[in-house]
Amino acid sequence: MSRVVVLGAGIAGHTAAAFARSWLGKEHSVTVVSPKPDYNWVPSNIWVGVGLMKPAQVTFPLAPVYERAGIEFVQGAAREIHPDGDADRSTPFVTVERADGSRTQVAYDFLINATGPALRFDKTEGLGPDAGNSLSVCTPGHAAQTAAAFAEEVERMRRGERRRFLVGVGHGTCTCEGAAFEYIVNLEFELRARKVRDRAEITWITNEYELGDFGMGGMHLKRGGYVTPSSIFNASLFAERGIDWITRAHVEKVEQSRVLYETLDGAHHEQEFDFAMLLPPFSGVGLEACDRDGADITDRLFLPNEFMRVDADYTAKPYEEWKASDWPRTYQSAEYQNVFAAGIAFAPPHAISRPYTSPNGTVIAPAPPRTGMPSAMIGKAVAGSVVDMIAGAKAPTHTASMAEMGAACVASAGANPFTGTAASMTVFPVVPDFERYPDYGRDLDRTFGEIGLAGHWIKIVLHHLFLHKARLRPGWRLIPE
Amino acid sequence: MTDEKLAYVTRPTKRTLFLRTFLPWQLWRFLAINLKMIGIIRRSHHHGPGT
Repeated sequence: MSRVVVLGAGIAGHTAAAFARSWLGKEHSVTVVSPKPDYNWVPSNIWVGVGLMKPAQVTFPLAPVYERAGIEFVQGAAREIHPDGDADRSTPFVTVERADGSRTQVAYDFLINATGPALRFDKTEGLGPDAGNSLSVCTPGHAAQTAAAFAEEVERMRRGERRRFLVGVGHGTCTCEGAAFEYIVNLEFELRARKVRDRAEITWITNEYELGDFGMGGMHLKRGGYVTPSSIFNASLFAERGIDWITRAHVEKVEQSRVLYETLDGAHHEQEFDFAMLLPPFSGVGLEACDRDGADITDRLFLPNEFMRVDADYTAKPYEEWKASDWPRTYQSAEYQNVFAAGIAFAPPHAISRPYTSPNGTVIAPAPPRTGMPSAMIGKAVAGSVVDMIAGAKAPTHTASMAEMGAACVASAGANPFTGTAASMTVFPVVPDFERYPDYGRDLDRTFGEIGLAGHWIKIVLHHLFLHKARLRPGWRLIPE
Repeated sequence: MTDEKLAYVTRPTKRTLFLRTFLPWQLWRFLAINLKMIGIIRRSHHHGPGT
């Protein structure tokens, strides 16, 4: 009998746990440890943030789903990994802290760390909805709070006031620019739908070097006889929608109605706002690791950014020497063969976008995205390897390198069944491979994008399809990641 | 947004804007985009244990 423990119930962790349970015999156990009682389909949070959906439409309770599936659920936050056990027990375990502060030990034979990101609003003074002056759509609760603030702004504009909206990222090293992009274009669409667009000034602020970078170095599309960078399409959409933009920016401070930011040229600026939705930078969740004697071995399992070291090449090297082969394939810990990381929890070897530093030494460069389809595919591959290793395989049998997989993404640009639009995009591979595709790093026959109503329909279908899959309802295995 | 900024931006034509929400065309694009995405997904997916 083997015990598989999955830390985290987001897209990667939930996928890994569901497939591990599905593929393993009943003599083996699968346990999920998560501090939150609910599953959240994060891609739809942007619709909660403009008031088109309620949090209950993007979440569901995990406990009944896991009970039906035969997965044990421990609600609590993982704090320490003891991969060699401790003085009292020779087998590995995880220390979990429950909401009431009590601690419990969860033993494992195989551990999948899919703890996702910590939302580091603290990295920028005044950032965030709890202790700061800006809003967020990172969680259903944040998104609902943002929707309430948005509704208030609409009411003010209906009374004749002019309002200033600022949307983007709140630090020079943020990722998830794509989510902020979806939010700003949905916000603009809703202001038009509510007939107050003429009283709104909307500005995008980003750490991207060029629009349309999205933390993956942008993409190139074949269109109209040219190979065109995504920056052209992004700028076109913003111009069409009357959205102004600030690129190459590191937000230094968010005051009550003003952000202070530095740009890549080292200059300092400010931008006033009445409503600001700024995403935070991410780090790992701060898991610690201890050896059998209780000594801290966190640095052997994790990088300083708290993401887990896996089978990547973490050698520091300049952008020109980055290779697709630097990226992990099996997500197995280099230290412990029975420990894996999936989704945002694994440490990328480096960024995907070219990094830049201002003359003041400020790093202004998007971190690489590891969301949605890639996270789910990594979770599934890790589950496959763990199941095979339980059956006797000596090494991981499944791979899911982001430099070898493609991704499909649908970015909403306005939600209405007849007038809405979305940008449908595919890239192959996610991480550019300039050895295989010397010109653009990607296969241009498999990298495409277009905006239209069809994209919105696809986005709606995906919302329902992926929630059906996550609820492990009949046929869930047939729905791809 | 400044006119200087706007002057250097590619803008969609009226035809492009019309086609974005023209139902017959979008029904066709719905099928075409889904097929493209299924191709990417099939190329990227690995199978279950033991394969």
